[in-house]
Amino acid sequence: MPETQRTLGSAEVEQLVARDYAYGFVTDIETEKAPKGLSEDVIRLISAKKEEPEWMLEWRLRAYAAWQEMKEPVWAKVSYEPIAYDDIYYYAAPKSAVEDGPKSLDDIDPELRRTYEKLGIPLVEQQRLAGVAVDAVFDSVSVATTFKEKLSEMGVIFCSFSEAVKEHPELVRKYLGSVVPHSDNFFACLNSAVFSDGSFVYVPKGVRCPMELSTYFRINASETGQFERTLIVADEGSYVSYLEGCTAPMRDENQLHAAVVELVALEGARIKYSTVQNWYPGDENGVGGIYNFVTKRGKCAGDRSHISWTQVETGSAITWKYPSCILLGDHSIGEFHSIALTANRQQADTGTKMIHIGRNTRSTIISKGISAGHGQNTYRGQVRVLPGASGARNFSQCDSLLIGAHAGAHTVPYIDVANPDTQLEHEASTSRIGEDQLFYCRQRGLDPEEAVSLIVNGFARDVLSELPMEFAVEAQKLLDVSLEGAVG
Amino acid sequence: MTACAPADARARMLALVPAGASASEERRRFVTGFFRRGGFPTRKDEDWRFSGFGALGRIRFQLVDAGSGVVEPWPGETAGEAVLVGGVPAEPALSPPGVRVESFRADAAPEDLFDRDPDGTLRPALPVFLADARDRLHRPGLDLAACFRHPLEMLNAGLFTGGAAVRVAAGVDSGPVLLRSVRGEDAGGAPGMLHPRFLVTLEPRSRATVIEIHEGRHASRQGWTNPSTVVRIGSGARLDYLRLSTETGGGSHTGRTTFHLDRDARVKSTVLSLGRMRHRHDATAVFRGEGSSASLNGLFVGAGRERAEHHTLVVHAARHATSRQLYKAVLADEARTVFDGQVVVAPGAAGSDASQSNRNLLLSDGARAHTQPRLEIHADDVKCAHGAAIGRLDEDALFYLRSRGLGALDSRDLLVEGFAGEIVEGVADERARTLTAASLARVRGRGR
Repeated sequence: MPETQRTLGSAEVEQLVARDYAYGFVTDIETEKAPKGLSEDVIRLISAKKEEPEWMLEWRLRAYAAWQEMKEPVWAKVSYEPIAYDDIYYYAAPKSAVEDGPKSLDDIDPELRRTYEKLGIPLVEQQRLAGVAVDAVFDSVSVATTFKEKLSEMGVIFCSFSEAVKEHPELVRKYLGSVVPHSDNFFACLNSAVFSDGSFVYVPKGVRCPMELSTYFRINASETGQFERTLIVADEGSYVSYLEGCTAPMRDENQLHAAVVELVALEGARIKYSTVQNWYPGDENGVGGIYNFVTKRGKCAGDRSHISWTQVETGSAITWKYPSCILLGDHSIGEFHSIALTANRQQADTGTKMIHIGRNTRSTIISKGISAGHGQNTYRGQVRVLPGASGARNFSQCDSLLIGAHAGAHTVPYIDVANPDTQLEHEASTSRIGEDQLFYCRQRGLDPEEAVSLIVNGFARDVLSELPMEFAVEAQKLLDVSLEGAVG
Repeated sequence: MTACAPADARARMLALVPAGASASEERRRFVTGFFRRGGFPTRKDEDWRFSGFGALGRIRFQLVDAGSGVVEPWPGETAGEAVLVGGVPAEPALSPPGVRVESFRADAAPEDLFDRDPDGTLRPALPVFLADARDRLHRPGLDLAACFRHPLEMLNAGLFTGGAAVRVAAGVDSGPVLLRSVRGEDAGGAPGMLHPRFLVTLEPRSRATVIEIHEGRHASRQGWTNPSTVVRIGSGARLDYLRLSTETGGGSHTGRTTFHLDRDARVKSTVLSLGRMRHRHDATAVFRGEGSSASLNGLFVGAGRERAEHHTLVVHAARHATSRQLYKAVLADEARTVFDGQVVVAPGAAGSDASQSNRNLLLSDGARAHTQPRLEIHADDVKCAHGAAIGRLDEDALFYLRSRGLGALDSRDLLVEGFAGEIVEGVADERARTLTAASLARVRGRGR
């Protein structure tokens, strides 16, 4: 899309601009699109394109019917221009991928390969480098999946969602919507109606997934909403760690992203889900940027199951995201570790819900919010203990760091307890970077930016340490990049 | 319950505004405004999500009567006193030297009972400074005026039939002043509502102890008491405020206290919700002068199906102000509590120091606690913290006491007393302490 290339000012001006988006570029690939706007016909088209069975289409249509009855939620502490849902393309696929799917990495459109290289996904090297299988999502259709065979030897299914619908319909049918129903909320509902693709993971009984599974999300074609759907099922006694990272090209119009992630952990299973979100946040005046409205929810369905969410949110103009755990099984555990950074004009309303239903369930919430510039950062979370959840334990810690007099940090925890045999603690603090800390660092020869970066990384360490190694490095770098120019 | 349509409710309420009284036209506007904003709040309103009061809109209320008006004297030493029965003065007010205590009927309400906007419009409990400061404070995401949109305040301002005012002269130490409101009797068998209004003014450098008491029995579970207190604390003045509600009868009590603090002013507020009622109290503190500070405390002891909600709003609109909040609840049987605390630090309010804490003790399976400690911060040079804990009695502490030879029941009582003690200890009034002890006795032995 050459017409959406951003218009550059003079090079000098460009250098002065506080926070340049390092990953801003648009790949020129012919895109196959559905007409703008949403209707039953568009949904039928999406479903037909993906050669879905009848039940899948019906499910989408039910979601669409429910969505039409719903109103866009306004309770989050974010403000943005109204979204014209009729002015969005709900389906786009890179043509080359649709016409004949790649047989190997060599079959991939070279343009696409270059995009990945710029993003730093070492797809070509993936097979040699140990440990990470990539289901790369480029504009809604999976174009490359690696390490599939190796995984399938162990019975692990890791494929694109559309593939799963075709090849494992019994699993998809059983678990799709079991955690986030088709009528859950406005954005999840929209996703259920029009989701284009995503990832599907099934780990069979007793299997410890031998590698960390990873997906890179990428928004590319202009004016295309991206509606990913991820479903991860960990059968009894299994373990899987899943990484999700994303970045998007620089562009001027706001893009809508409404993803849904569902996790199901059966008895004794453990799912670790990590996200680094680095979408285009808009420029320093708040122009452009991704609207990120995500519904993520995990169900600890079996006893002693364990779901842990870790997220580093540095991108997006608007973030609306509450990765949650339904602690249904006895002795199940939910964890939420989050870093949310808002700089410039970014707004984030994020947090978690821990719903304690089973006995002796435990949950931990660690949230670190960092606001710089005019950023507005809200932690919104709920800890709910139902009458049957005897022995429930929760610990929540929500800290906020303010950088600059115009930043805002808000904490809105909801704590609802209906069982006396509960131990629940919530702590929160808000402060700015200490002058003495800065002074100390500068006295040791660090410049102000390095000093702030050091302090911020220390502040966020509890969460960073939860991330898998390669993500931790990226996340730390992201924090630094995101704060550039915010200090001083 | 006798049902009636919203339009009907509005007409009925309007008819109850005393005609011909001072500012009656403006008071009718408050009532109209209340209905225009949607009338009685329901659970769909975020601030009322645990207990809406929408059902009140369907009751055909009458204002309560003074009735026989027999009021027992309050034990203990008091310097000044104003007593209202059924919302109107019951006996002449008693003023200590340097302090003016008066009780009044609506048609003789003091001039400064309401704030006025620069254009002369009356505003119930909306701080004067806000009108000019609103622009300065306004930033996207901070709608300060919205913080003050308490719907039931509008009804009180429109419908009050009487109240009491205290003014402490500059530099004077008032000693304890009692403001008592006794429920009165329902007129003609219709469910009664009561809207007493209090105004407390501390001139600069004065000191005062004000005890506000709501007592009496609701004749039916549809009864409603909706008092409102506005407190203005001048620069350097100090107020010790105790609010006690002991009403019984299972009706609804929705009260508010709003503190406006000037430079270096201080308030310590203790709210004891001991009544057998459906209870809600909103405490608001607005720092409009540098260096002011507020300590807001509250205790609810509930059994049966009683419930109490404590909502707080602390607005740091000036620099170097300090706020502390500590609210606790002891819950037995199916009692429920809600703590909804909000701290707002306005842009530019550097040096703000706010803390907020809520602790709830659940003594039985049916008890419920909901906590929502909210922080909204728009300045960077701040120190804000909040904490919340919900749980039952500490097993280790129980074990320790038992190992020292105390019986199971005594150990529990001791721990419950200690838990409540943190709030009650600072209360000087003897009667308030007795009443709290009596409330605690009701939940005796309920600990598991």
